[in-house]
Amino acid sequence: MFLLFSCGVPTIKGLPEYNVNLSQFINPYFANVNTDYVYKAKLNVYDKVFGGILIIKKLKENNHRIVFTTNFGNKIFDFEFIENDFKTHFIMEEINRKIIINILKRDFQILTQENNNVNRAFKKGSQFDIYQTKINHRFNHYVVDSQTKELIKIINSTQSKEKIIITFDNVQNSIAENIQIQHKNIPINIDLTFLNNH
Amino acid sequence: MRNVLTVILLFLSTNVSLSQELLSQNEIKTFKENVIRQDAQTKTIVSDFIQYKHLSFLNNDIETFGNLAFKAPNSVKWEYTSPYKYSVIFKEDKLFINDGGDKSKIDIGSNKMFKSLNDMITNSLKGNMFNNNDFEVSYYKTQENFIVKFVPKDKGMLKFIALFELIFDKKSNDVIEVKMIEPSKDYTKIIFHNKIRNTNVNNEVFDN
Repeated sequence: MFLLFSCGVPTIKGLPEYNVNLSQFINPYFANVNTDYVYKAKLNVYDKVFGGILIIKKLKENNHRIVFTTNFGNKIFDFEFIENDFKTHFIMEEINRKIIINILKRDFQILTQENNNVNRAFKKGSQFDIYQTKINHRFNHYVVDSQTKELIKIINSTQSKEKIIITFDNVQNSIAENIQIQHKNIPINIDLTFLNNH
Repeated sequence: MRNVLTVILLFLSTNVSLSQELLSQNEIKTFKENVIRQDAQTKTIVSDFIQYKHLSFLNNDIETFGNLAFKAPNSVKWEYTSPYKYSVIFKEDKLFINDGGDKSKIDIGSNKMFKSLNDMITNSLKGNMFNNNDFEVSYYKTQENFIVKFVPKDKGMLKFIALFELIFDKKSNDVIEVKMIEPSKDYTKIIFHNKIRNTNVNNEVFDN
């Protein structure tokens, strides 16, 4: 038994699997086209802290716009996800590097992608259900409170290692007021606090 | 219906272009002299402001409230108070940042971007930025305002600012609004209110 599970990702290691009756998991947090999702953001990159405003907007089904500005309002980047395409509308010269764009692209895709095809489902005690989806050679694990059905975390992993952990806190009316994006393999963390814009 | 709409739009746009008239060389000279004279007599400025960030795809502009203080020769504090707390202080070639309690310091002497940000904030607050060689400057008037438009000459800067506008109250020669328009037409608009010149401003205001 130990050998069978030892190479698995810690997120689901040793957890009982069950037959999933859910084909898609819907991420509810950026799903309303009528809401401007505006967050105060703090990016900790290596030893440096960058503050700013993160704006997420669902334009239509499978289409999100994601803009990060300084506290003064100057754009740092402006991305768009359309179906499976990714478009950079703007990025500041100083951070216009493929490696940075790829990290941000992956983070925001995990954060905002609404419809996710579920591969497998697991139970973690009586408290949590974990839905696993497959995405670009990696896995996303949607950790859901079994009682309230609230999405608590998204854990992105390879076959064997957890890579990115997104934690949602203080959920009010399908808006997560606090979000933390934590990278396990690189010292980049993003903290988001919802700003009530109207 | 479409024709009616076109006529209305045409009328509106003609109206806007009519209402913004170019200043004559004499008017420019008088206006500049007034602003420069007022600036020379200004030891301090305090003001409240509302910042509107307009992004074409949002339902509402993002509104941020704050206040600022200036003390001659070159101390500036720019503070957002709601819905988040963030302040920057420009003092003696340094930039002090307080981001909701996280404090940091940047040497602006070595950073061209922050130096031009500082110049822009200080000068737009004072209204006096006519001698800036980084911009192509043009002057307009409406019934109540003078509008000065600055187009950056630097290609690098043009990538993020297409146009920078200062709107002055004709009577007081004070800047009442600043607008930074991006190449995408998204913009940041700052409206000043409760602006007071030469009131007492303690040096402690500029301590981080």
